[in-house]
Amino acid sequence: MSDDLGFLGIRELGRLYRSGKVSPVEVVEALLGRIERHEPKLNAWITVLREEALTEARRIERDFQSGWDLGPLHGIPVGLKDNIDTAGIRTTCASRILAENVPSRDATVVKKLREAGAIILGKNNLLEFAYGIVHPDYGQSNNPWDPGRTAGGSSSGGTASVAAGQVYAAIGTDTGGSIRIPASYCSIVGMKPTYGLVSRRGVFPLSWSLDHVGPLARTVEDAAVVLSVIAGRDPAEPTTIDGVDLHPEGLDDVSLQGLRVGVMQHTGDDLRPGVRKRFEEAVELFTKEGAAVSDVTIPTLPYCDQLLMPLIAPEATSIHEPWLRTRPEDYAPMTRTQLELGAMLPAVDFVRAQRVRRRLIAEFQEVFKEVDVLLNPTVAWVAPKEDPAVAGDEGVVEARRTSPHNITGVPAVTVPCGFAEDDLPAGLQIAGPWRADRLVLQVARAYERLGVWKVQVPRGVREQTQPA
Amino acid sequence: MIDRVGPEQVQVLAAAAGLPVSGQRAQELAGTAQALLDDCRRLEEVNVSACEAPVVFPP
Repeated sequence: MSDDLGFLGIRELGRLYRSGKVSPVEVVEALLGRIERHEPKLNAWITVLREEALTEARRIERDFQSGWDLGPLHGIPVGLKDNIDTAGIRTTCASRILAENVPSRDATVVKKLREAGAIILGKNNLLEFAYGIVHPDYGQSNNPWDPGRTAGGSSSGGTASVAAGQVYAAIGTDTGGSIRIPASYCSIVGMKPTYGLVSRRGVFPLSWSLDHVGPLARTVEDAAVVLSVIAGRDPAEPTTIDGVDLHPEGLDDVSLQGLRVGVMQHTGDDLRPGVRKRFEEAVELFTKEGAAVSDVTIPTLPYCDQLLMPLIAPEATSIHEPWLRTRPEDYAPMTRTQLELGAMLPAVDFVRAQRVRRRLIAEFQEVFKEVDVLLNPTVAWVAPKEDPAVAGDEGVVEARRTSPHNITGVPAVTVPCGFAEDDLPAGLQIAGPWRADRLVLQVARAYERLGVWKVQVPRGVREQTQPA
Repeated sequence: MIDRVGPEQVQVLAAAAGLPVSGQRAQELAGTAQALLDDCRRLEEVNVSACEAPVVFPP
């Protein structure tokens, strides 16, 4: 098979399966070979399920031969962030604390992927417990565009593996930007759906009220296909919602003509010139295509910098309290610091933060009466050498444009918008009202169709991606 | 309301939560804890009304 097969779209690969031109076994073998060639350079995986994936591929090959068809994800190799439970398979959260943890059952999202016929290729690296810091036992996942830099966190390994053509999609989690930030750094699509749209049952929590599960993929269509499979109400998870139209067909039906687009106005001069340029070009394209573009000021938005940690920290500390008491030295030093901080926050300050959050949600509700979608650059800069701590100044700036969507729970997607500083990728973020996930994806697809970005082999792994 | 935290306050708060925090560790944590509390004081600038109840989960 051509190595380029690893960079096909999900539907395109499905067509090749169904026409008998390519077999799932062939694809899985090729991707496993690619992972071997890319590792340890990218350090994108904690567990690769070589034998399990090949066994599954052989079974699915027989499915196709007998006409059994489970839909668009049937036979599609995917990765899972290693904070997502997999029955009988180690799930470490990239921590020493859970280094030997083997869950007894699959998370709901895994169950849905398996029922749809997806092939789980393995468990991807992440920042420890998705809390912004690399644990030295696991190391940093590196960026396929420049392996001397981070892939971004916390869904680092899944993002790197999708960008490098090792899998067709990965499942990540996002509490302040952990799907969208790495997706922006690695030039792929990352979607944080509406709060509760994807079940978090069996996903190790960081902050119950901010955590989201969502897809990482190379195209908007691929992200939409995965989201349509993993979304939906879960009786075992009380915060889940249903009734959201996510049908991936008709993604191209939305025109930018007449679309009301708000450009989020952020304070501060953090935006790097190259990222600003790419963003301004994107906004110009929306205008050129007939969108009604206007600036949008959200009064409480500047306080999001101060809001995220008081919301995350107490919830995270509550989750980790037993280990923090008995095994504090097993955490990476900064993870431990961030967790200990949660114990320093008075309850009244936590409640105040949740009340400010109420205000922010009300302001977003007002904004979405005036505009259909909101735009901003996903991150102010390109991939740094290392991931900043969530509680530090750089961590605050890194999540400045993504965390408001976690705090409010609205859907937001990042799409590649070209190269910025050091010839590294930048992302455009598109957000919409609660439950308007499909609209957000349609607008992202409309932007993608304008051709600013084409899927390509990242330069940092080009040598290792050529056929042997 | 807590406005200022030094190592002593950090140790008291950690002890109240049952966390093993040594004197040296408290010294290291004090600056970061103060920054977090400063953030909380800044949030007081947002004049939320009594009717604006805390969010448990987003809508």
